[in-house]
Amino acid sequence: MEQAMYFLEQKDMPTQWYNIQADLPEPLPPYLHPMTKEPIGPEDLAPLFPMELIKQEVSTERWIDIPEEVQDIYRTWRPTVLHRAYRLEKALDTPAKIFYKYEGTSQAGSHKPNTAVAQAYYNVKEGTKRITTETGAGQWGSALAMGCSFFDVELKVYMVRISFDQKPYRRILMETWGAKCIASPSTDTKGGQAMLEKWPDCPGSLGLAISEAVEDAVSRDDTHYSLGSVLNHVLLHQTIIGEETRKQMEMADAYPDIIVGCVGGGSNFAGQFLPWIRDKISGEKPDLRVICVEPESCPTMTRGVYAYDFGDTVGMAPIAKMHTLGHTFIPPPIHAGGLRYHGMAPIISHLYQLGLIEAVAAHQTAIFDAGVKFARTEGIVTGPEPCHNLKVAFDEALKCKETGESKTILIAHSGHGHFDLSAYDRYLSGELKDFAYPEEEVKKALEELPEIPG
Amino acid sequence: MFPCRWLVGCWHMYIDINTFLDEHYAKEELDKVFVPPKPKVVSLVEMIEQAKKRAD
Repeated sequence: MEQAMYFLEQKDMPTQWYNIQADLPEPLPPYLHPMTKEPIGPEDLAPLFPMELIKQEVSTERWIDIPEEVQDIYRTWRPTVLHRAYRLEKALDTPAKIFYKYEGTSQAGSHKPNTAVAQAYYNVKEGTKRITTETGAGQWGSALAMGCSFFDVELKVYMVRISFDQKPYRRILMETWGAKCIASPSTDTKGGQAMLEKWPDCPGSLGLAISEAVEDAVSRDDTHYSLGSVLNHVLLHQTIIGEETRKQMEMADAYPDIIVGCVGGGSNFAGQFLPWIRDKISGEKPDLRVICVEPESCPTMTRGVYAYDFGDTVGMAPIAKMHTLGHTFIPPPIHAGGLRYHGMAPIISHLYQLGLIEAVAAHQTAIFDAGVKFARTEGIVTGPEPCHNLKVAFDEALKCKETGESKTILIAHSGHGHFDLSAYDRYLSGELKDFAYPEEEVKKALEELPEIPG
Repeated sequence: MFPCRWLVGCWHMYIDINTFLDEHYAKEELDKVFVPPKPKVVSLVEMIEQAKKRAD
């Protein structure tokens, strides 16, 4: 019998998060306060976060205990299953062994509750009555809404207006879990009011929504702010994914040659690969390959740098120059596959700069092609973001077919695509194109590039 | 206002954006655009300061 699923008993669920900061070959650079130029201290972040999360942000302890109350809630959906994709392997006719760790069985349908629950817990423990956050399409907002409902804390979500208007289902999910969700820009903050005065029909952006959520939190003593990606403590909470997978791969008597995941804010991928990369750092598994995939339309790691930057005269790798958006930029809707315009997690950037992980870019039609193939072999309708991982995992599996190698490929699968069916519909009806922006629009946009003051 | 530092990533699929930038901007100007971005923690601290100012 082929064993296609590896279940971990609930009693064997990991009880500690793994902190990569203990094992980095070079520590993350310190952050300087933009005004004082002194290192940023806990008190600088205290208006936004509970102290325990601030401590985790800078901790270099290798293992951090998962509080019992958080474990109890984790056990409502964890451990998640590790799958062996036999049907996919046969469809690809590859000798590669393909495994995927599926986080879509959480109540919110993604990996996001791993940190949402933890953040809600630490806030309530320190007396926070109310939390604010931002959300793009609603995956993070809905996960935090669930986490806040478990701990009976109020949540207000600033949702990017274009998603608020076009994608109502996650908003409804948030409201079902008891959160208040409003469109950003809003009239509830001074930042939102200022934007609406200048641009009444502004579709919003993630940067603007963050700014509103931060302003809201800073303006009230009973309120903190919560972020679902990028920050060290967020990635820390996600490491339960990889720690579970290590135990499950052992059950399968396997070890990955290649780990594939997508990067937006980096939290799911980091949650899977950080517990493995320590083997590469220690020298135990020097040949382990970790591949992050990003959209070709927003290739922050692989391409999105002006060419001369690669010469790097100031000793800074290109990736370090390209992590955040100017927040006046409103992106054109050219990519249906998510992963657009996030800041990159410093830990991932750092590991990339150290040469410990690789990056590749994928076109949107190719990722949906992979998503459809996966649905028709493994049955799961994959979210657009993890479809990136499928595409690159398939490429690696097909390379094995050419070479005859039987490599073990592990896919970080962050969740289902049940709220993204309109993107699948566009793909299946042939509407999605990789190069479809009208030439006159390109010309117009470039003519409107601002002048650079001397 | 500067052009967004992400414009290469957004436009590389449609035109030869690097050539376009070479033809329209001096290297010194582009140095101002492609500056290292701020880490998230730093931008959050900035937002805190801005929010405090708005509240005053």
